[in-house]
Amino acid sequence: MTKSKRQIQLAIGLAIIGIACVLSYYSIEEKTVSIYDVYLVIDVSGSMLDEGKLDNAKNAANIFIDSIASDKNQIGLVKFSSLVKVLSKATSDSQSLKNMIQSLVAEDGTALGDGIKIATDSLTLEGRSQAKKVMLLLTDGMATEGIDPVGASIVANQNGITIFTVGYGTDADANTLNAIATNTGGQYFYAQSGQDLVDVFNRISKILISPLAHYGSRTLILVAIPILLFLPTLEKGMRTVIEKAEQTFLDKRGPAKSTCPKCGYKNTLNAKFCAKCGIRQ
Amino acid sequence: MINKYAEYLRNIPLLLGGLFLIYVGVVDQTIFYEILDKTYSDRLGITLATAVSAGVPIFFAVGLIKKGVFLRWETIHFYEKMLEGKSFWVLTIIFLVILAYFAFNKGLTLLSTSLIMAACISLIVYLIFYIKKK
Repeated sequence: MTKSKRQIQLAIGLAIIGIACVLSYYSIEEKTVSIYDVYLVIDVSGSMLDEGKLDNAKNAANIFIDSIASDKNQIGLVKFSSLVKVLSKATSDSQSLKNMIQSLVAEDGTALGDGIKIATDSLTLEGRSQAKKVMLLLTDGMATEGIDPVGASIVANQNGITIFTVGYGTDADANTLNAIATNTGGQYFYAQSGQDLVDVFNRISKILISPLAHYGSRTLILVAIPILLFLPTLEKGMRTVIEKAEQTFLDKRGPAKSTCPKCGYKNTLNAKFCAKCGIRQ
Repeated sequence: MINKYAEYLRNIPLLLGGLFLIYVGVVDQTIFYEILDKTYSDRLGITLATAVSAGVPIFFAVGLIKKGVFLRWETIHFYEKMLEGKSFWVLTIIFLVILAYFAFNKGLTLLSTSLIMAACISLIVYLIFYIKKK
């Protein structure tokens, strides 16, 4: 193979990759316009005072707000202990949300189900119709008061809300939180420490920008690489197919024939006399 | 004929390695998130993360599968040269070490990351012996 042919092969291959990347870029643009209304539903029961859990939760929530906040996305805040309170409806003002998060104080029991219900009501009534509705539920224990949280999650699911649940510490009720997440198409995460909590919140924010949502663009790259590398094999294969098609066409047409000027009979090309009327060709 | 089958059997680990890397390129999200963590989550960042997380594993998967089953299939000249030498295999090992590191960072409590870690280590060990034999 000549040097120039090798270079042409490489150039064609790289062009294919380049086109795939450009198409990928534009297909992502179409799909990343998912707009989210996210509600942070945070447990402020008395147990959150232990081991600085509430401070860690505040830190993780602030980082989450930074990563998800944009002009398109809105974030709301609900706190629950024995009582539930919507501290902020969905907003793009991340600074005011952070201020409210800093003002959280731990007290009383855990009305987990009520927290889900109030957040569901607020998201359903106040949420934008074009936005995907998501709830991020953080708790360090199990429901001690209020309505059944699993039942509340079913209602949330009926309203098109996805709930990501985070169990913080060993006392978190993993089974219930798992059921809540499963019922609503979300995911359950467990965090042991403050750093775990930050990682989990980060992971949830990244899930909202999931690669699976950009599968079209991923597929382009996946197809382009083997095409680039197997270019000579593909070239050979194409050439074989074309040659076969040509051969089939010629076989179907059969050998060329000459027409007798008198009777119109089709004789073989080199025949000296017409096979029908005997006239010299 | 027997030699041909023996050769195919000898190359089965390469085929399995190639399939594993296809899995990493198609399904796994470890590399995607690692890149996204270090870049802005804008369109360009996502394009970069998508291209690298899908493209790099498939680049190595093609080589492993070619050497595993499609021995007669011809690849582009520069890639063929890499496959004949040691550079491709050394790069594959480096990539697998990075992937294993990412999986370790993500936490081995998840089944998928544990499997990725185990597969990476097995493949690295096999490739070290494979390079030595070359």
